[in-house]
Amino acid sequence: MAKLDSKIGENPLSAPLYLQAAEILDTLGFFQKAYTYLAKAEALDPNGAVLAEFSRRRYYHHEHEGGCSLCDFLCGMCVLDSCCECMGGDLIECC
Amino acid sequence: MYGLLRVPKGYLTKHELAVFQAHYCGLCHALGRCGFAGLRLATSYDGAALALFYSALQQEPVASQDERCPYFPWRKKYQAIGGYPIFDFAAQASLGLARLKFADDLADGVKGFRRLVFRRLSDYLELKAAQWPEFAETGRRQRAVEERKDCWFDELSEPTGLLLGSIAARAAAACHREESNAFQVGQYLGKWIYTWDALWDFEDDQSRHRFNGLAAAYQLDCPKLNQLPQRLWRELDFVLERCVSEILRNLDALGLNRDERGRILAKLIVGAHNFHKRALVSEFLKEESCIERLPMSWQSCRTQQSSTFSGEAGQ
Repeated sequence: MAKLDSKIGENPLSAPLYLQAAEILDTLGFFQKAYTYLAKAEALDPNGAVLAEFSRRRYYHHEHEGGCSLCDFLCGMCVLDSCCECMGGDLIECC
Repeated sequence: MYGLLRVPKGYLTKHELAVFQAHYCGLCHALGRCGFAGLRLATSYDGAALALFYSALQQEPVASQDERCPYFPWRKKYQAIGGYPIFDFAAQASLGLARLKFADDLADGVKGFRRLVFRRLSDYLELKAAQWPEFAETGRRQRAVEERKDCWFDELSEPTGLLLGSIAARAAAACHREESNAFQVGQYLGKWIYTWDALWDFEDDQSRHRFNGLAAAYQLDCPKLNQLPQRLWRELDFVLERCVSEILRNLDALGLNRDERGRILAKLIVGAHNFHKRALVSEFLKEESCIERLPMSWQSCRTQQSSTFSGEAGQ
């Protein structure tokens, strides 16, 4: 972390360096400190790509076993439509 | 712990609520066996959640049956049958946590008759929790951090996190399960509880000039929650969301998403988190000027129907 801080000192406008520091602190469970680095990264990257990358890597998408996601539902609909078409019918006319 | 793991009314299904209630009643019975009947007052939602966690780790079914509750004899309750080590474990942990609460109140300067009672109870519970050195260590750690003037909020919430982490790791060790994931469940739950507790107590602590973690870490001297700046709300939202995310990640890593009790626990944590957001907004942050400063997920809470805590599980 000290090495990273010195790198940030040399290059204070690098959003990826702040992001890297935020990820290290986040892994250690220091969320408040992580947020301060993340806020700096966000300020240096106004299009939000840094924050999106952080969210993608760090946030956990919890799923209950036995549940049905939107993706599962759509796949199911496609299979049903194919089955209907095999039998001469049609469930979803546009596909 | 401070009873923050409450379930919003109607959030759990009837069956899920019955399972949670069975663990709550099992804990209450176990506390009654620890000494005198008054110790049952240490029963809390958090203690029941700990029993549920242990029970899910153990993977063995807990037998339950309808019995009359000694405190509500006109109602039959779905109670776990006694004799399971999970309830003795949760009861010991609940007594240690109650002792910490009394010690905290004494340090905050409770006066008069209450001080005398709290002192006696604190000494009694200290003897009861003597086999758990974590509790005494947590008290010392917390005081040491609070005495510092330049502490981060992370550092202030760390002792509670470490305490709950070590309790959860003990439960995992007893069930021969992965201790590091269990430790992290407890650690992040402790941080989550500390943060919500600091938010709920903020105005009261400020008006009575008592120590508050938020006020100390961010050097706030405003008396009202609705005066906190936008940056701080975003930061707190980040801290709380990350805690919930890590709790769920570690519950799943322990394989508890394959157990009904583990799924109830995950649902309970997410439900309690959303409930506290809604309740805090409706109680302290109603003004339009304040709402604008809150993160989006908090703003949308205002439009959702505010529900009350479900008393059904706990009574």
